[in-house]
Amino acid sequence: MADATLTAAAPHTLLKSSLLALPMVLLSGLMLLGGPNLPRDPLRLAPFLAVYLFVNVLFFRMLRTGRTERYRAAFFIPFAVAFVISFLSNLIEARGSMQLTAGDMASGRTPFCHMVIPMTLVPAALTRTIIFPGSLLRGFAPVAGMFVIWIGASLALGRGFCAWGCFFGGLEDGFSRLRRRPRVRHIAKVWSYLPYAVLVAIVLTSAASLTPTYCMWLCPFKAVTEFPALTSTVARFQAGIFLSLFLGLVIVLPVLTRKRTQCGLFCPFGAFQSFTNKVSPVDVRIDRERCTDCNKCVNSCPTFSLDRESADRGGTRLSCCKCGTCVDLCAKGAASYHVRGTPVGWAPERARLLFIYPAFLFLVTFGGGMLQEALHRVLLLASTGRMIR
Amino acid sequence: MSAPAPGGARGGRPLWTGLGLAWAAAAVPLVLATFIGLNGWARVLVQITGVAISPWYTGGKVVRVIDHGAYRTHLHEPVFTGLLGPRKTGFVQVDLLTPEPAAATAAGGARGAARAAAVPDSVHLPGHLVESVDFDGDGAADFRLDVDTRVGTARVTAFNPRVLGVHEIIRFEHGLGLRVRLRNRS
Amino acid sequence: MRGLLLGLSSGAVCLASCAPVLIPCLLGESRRVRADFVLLGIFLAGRLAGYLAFAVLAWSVGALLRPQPRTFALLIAASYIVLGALMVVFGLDRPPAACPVPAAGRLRRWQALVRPPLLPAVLGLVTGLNVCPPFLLAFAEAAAARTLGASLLFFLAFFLGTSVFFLPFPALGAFRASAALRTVGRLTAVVVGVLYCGMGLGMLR
Repeated sequence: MADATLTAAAPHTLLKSSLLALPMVLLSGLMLLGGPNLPRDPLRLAPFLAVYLFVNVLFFRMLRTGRTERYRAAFFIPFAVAFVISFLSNLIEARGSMQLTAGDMASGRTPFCHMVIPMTLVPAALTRTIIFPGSLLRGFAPVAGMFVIWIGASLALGRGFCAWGCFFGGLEDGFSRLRRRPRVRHIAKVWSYLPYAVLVAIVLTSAASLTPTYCMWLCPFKAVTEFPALTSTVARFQAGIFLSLFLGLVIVLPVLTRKRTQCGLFCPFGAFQSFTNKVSPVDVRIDRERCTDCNKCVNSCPTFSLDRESADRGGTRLSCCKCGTCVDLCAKGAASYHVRGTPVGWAPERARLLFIYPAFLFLVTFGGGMLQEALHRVLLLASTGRMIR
Repeated sequence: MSAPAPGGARGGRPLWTGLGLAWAAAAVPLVLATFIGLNGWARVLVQITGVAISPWYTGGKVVRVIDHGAYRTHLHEPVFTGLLGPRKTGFVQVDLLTPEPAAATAAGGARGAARAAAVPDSVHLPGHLVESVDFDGDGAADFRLDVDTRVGTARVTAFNPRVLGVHEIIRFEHGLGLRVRLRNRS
Repeated sequence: MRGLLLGLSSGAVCLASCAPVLIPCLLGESRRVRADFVLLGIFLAGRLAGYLAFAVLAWSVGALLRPQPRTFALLIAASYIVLGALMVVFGLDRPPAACPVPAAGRLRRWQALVRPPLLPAVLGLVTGLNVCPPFLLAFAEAAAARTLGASLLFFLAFFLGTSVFFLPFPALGAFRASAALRTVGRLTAVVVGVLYCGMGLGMLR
């Protein structure tokens, strides 16, 4: 993410790291298994053990080294890849195709995605209906279930969801790391307001039309999930838009800028989720007494959430997703996680622990299942020659 | 957009500090409760809000089922839902469905359903269907549908001036759904 | 009276349909509540002009003008595209000062020439012609009116009935202090414009 080498925060001793990691060892096992019993099928047991070991090694390293971002990304990026593999496999198994037909929509078989949430709120408030062709309680990714996950994530993490939970974000997070140095260094600040503009636009147009206009016209991730059947010129035109946005915002621009350009410059859900930073318990602050105005944090922030003005005010912009990049990078320890209500600079490592525990647990629970499923599919492919049952 | 902590850059008040720490500490149980109680919370959320999937997608509630033996007709209630009041135009959905799932679906469960979807059950419907529909419940037919179930086309003959034409034909696993455009009464 | 009652009953529909156009204008253009009332007035005047002009045209030719459904659909699609393009022009009226692309300076000079002084009026006009659902009603009523005066009076009353619902909009001017919101408003206009262009192109099939 940054041009400069990440500097280590104060690490914990081996004993202390082990003790601090112990609750995660227990909780991650519980949440990954979803019950008390180990899977009997070897093609299920092996992925579980691999993911279980992986997440606990990552968390232990997070504690031992005092660094957050690299270990977060080490799970976040494979999580996104695993999501694509498992989602598409399940889709093709159930429907035979990535294409979404009118029959699928009328039958409520469309999995609900968190990106739709902002568009549904005004119509839901005024008409008591959800403008999405899914199912409220049944099937894969039902509407109500995703709403519950979103509410829990918002209260615990705020926009931290975008760095610790969003199964799309890891794709561009990964692409942004392909080059050592950015080719495009400067993006005008005005473009960081575009996500809010997209949010207002889709909320208004969705309410007017009672259809989720972002899903129909602007979602880059239709390229790797599902999309309306290509049975008309309009559908093919829409597919062209999805593919172009995916290539541009998720692959090309992140590679060129080393930033998460889809998240920081376009995603309306991210803009919406920024407001939940006001209700989450932890944020990122800049201790002005320690800060030397070196601008490393400003230059390295992957979602354009730090600028000179916000750093001078002692904090980040509303869009901060608490990924830990600036915290890990700051040589003076000026940038740190901060618990609301506590003084700035108060026990930064304790604040970090109070954030990374729920954040990592959320990531493991939300993403661990998908990672297991993807590994299972890979093993299925290796053993049977087919990824689809 | 981020304000300094209350009490100045370095000072703090014990009450706020305690509350903040308690709030932060509650995040772990909150995450656990979110996932462990997911299904329960989801049901509660639906009950409290009373929301349903938009009838523009579901076709609206089924108000009448007519059994013709070889197939069943499911008549939905007309849909005119708008954001701030009913819309001037909407549709009524008429489903023509086989009474029993295809054998492959019955035997194969989810996989059978996938195979069945590849060969839509509309081919098991009678090849040509004529259906008279009374959507407003006044006892008089409002329109007649002439449906070619093999090709998936339909023609509507309107007896009620509110009927505007065929809006959409949907292929289900077990038959066809036809949406007929209507003008609202008001 | 019938027109007024119809307007009052349809106004909510007009509100939902016009909001994606009007809200970005109000957010992106103005700084004070009073100025927002002026802007709203211009928008509504444009909308009224659209209604009345079409009422005259439809009545004067009568049933002969009633276009084939396909032609009518193409007209609607074209007006969506025009509206979308206008929204994009409005939104890009002041390109980002720090934009390094040299063409931005040429774009700004071109926009200064073509941007109508009363852009909100034009937006109101085009909004009234297409996205406003009662437009279809207007067509049917105008073609059936006995006299031109009756048709114009009907639409004037209808317009007054619907416009009541737009009165709260200038409250957006209370956000006068935030340059960020004005930027968001302009960018929103661009996004809405792009969406309408896409929807219009989709209708051209």
